Amino acid sequence: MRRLSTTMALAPLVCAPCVSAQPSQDALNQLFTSFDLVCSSLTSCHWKPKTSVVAAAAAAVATPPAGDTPASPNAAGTPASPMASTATGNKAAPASTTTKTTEDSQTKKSFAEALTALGQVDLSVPDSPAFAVLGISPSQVQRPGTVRELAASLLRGVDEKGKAKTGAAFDFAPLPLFAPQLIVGGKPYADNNLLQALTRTTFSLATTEATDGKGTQLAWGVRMGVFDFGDPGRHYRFMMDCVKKVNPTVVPPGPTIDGLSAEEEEAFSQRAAECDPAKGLDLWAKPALYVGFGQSKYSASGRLTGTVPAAKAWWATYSQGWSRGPDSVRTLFQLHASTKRDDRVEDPDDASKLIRQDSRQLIGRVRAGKDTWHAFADVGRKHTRLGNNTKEKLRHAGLGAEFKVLEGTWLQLGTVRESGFADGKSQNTVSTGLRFGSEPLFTTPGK
Amino acid sequence: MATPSPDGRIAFKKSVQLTGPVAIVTADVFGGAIVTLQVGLFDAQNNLLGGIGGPGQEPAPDSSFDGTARWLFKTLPGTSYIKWGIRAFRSASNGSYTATGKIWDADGTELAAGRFGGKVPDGKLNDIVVFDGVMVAAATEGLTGIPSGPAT
Repeated sequence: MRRLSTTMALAPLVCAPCVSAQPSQDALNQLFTSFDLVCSSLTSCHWKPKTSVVAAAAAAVATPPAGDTPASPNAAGTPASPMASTATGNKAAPASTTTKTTEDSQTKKSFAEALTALGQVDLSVPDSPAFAVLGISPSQVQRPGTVRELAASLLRGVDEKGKAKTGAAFDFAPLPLFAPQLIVGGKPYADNNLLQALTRTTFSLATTEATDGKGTQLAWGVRMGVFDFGDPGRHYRFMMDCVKKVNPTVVPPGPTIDGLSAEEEEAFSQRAAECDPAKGLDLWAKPALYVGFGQSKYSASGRLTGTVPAAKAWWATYSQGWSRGPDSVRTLFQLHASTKRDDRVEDPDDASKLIRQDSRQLIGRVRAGKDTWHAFADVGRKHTRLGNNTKEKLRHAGLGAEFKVLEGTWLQLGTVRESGFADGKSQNTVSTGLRFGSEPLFTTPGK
Repeated sequence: MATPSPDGRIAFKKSVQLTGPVAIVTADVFGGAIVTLQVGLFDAQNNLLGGIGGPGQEPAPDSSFDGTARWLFKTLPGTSYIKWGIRAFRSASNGSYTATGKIWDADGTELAAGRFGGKVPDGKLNDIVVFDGVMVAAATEGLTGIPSGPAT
């Protein structure tokens, strides 16, 4: 049975007086996303209150309970992709389950979820792979700028008994930190691809409390920009030519070291901000390849010795865009591949247990748009092995678009097909709707 | 006399004796930033005798070619002090940088140096300008035909 989930038909429910009363945008969006039109065929449909998007999302990313080698279900930190979304929804219905599983995931696939799954997920390599492999988003990340600060940060991350404190998060770039003298800006940097790659390399470290409440999870990760033609350092000439045009200040007289006044500095900073290559050039459209790796370990004692390996993950994302100016169509192509192994996820047959999951995925996406419309298309595959014998090979294809019909009103269209579930079923979703708000849901490349 | 700067700048604490009719001001920078160099030569009455990087002056040299910005000056008659400013811009990396301003005698002798560091954080293009300088006892007699300009 195919189900069409749409909210477009709800549009007539918003009467003119209601609109003239100017209800809040949140209230309107809430109304429009409260029901699904569930159809067994194109002529047989009924309205059905939606499963809470928040609840569904929470269920999708719920951290599994205690286990002997705990790890987040999304431990690899692979950006939640359409494939990941599907797989997560299907996780509650593992390959061994049958129709009910697919039905459940279909029922939970609300309009908002479908749109979110379609093209809105981040395909970039995580900024901090250590955090991603642990599935955490630390509120406070220490980013030491000097060796002294790094040492102090690391010392603060260990207690007096040599145990790693939970909740520590570090993110730093080794080359600028340890050998800044090797980085000379301008031409020496722009002409040296290896120097650029090393400068863009960051390490991350993190600890968090294990889900068993006893041990500690530790993780390290590395992220490298193998090449990035959008690196601002490559476009130093643009910056310097611009800066010299907006730099009319004179050396103030007097044998003092007093600088410019605060007002003069502020005025110059505002003018110089226009010289930022990231603002003056379409750096987002330049070809770039980033890779990342993260490895987590579990320590029952909290000590750095005696750890056992847990999840590990690799990411790689290539991106290339096209633009002919701020008023023209902006297009961005992304190709994302990731693998996570030895992840631990909730056993679909016994929620109190964790079982191993290995997965890998490949997603290609094209996004295009202007200020008044946005569209995307993506395709992907995800192979998942759950436990020892359950395998799933998902395929995904999606299209979505958003049009600004009025100021603050967006018409959204989306469709997604997912196939290859372990039970042999496929899923098709068509979503349409109106969205109220000044900002579009879909992001435009370069915005 | 200005208050000595705690960050390593010369802060006019020093007077240097030029042995020749020219002085060279340089700025070296590491850590991924690029600096532009502004210099002014003043007499004892604070009148500007010459300079670079300001309105109507020679463009400010920058360190984008090899990490060093250089400029050679004729120390005009009456020159009392040389004052320069360094403004750092992010070019590569987002970390800390160090910049060292120096004044050289014509024969390559380093006469004074001041060093400062900074950090151009993510999302910001420029750091504040930092001024430095020295009092000079210039050998200003007999200056003829020495052009100022980029020092190579």
